[in-house]
Amino acid sequence: MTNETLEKLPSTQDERWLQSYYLVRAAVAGVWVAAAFAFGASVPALAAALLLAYPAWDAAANVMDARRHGGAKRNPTQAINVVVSVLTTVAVAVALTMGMHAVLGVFGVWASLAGLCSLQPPSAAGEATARNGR
Amino acid sequence: MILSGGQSMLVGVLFIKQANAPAIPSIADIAPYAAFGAFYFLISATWLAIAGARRRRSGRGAATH
Repeated sequence: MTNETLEKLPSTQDERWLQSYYLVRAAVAGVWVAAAFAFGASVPALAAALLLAYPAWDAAANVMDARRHGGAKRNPTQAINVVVSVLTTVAVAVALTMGMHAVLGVFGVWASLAGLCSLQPPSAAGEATARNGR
Repeated sequence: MILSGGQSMLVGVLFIKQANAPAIPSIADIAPYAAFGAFYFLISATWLAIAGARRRRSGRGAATH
């Protein structure tokens, strides 16, 4: 029981990791937005790369999160996010050959799905946040 | 999280509407959504920092050991 209790409580290190994880994700998203506004219209190739990088980075970040917190089985939300984001990356690649309408459609489906997922019970990261909040 | 989930769904519906509208969309239509994402991650990081500081102030390990 003691072990279980200890295991469930976030260590300070874990808390720090999560904090920098969120900060890195915020920074990457910020740079992405800046690049999209600065070069999106004038450099189509860069716009395409950014559109691909967005879901690809989300997949990579969720892999890091799940690995850090005990693997895919213990982090079902992250595991689902990885699968969905990888599929989205592939779908964006296909949509890019069809035009921006198709790309927006892919992002639309993805955002809706992501929204549905985060309305579900909290992820491991969310639980950690809730626990730390107590 | 519920707030961001609801917002994400709204944005998704909006994107799908734009995907079916005649005007050609651009990356600039997606960028504001990404900015919201950045904002939520910042909030999460800040919340963790505040919660951690509060816990340390209220006595380390009060809830743990």
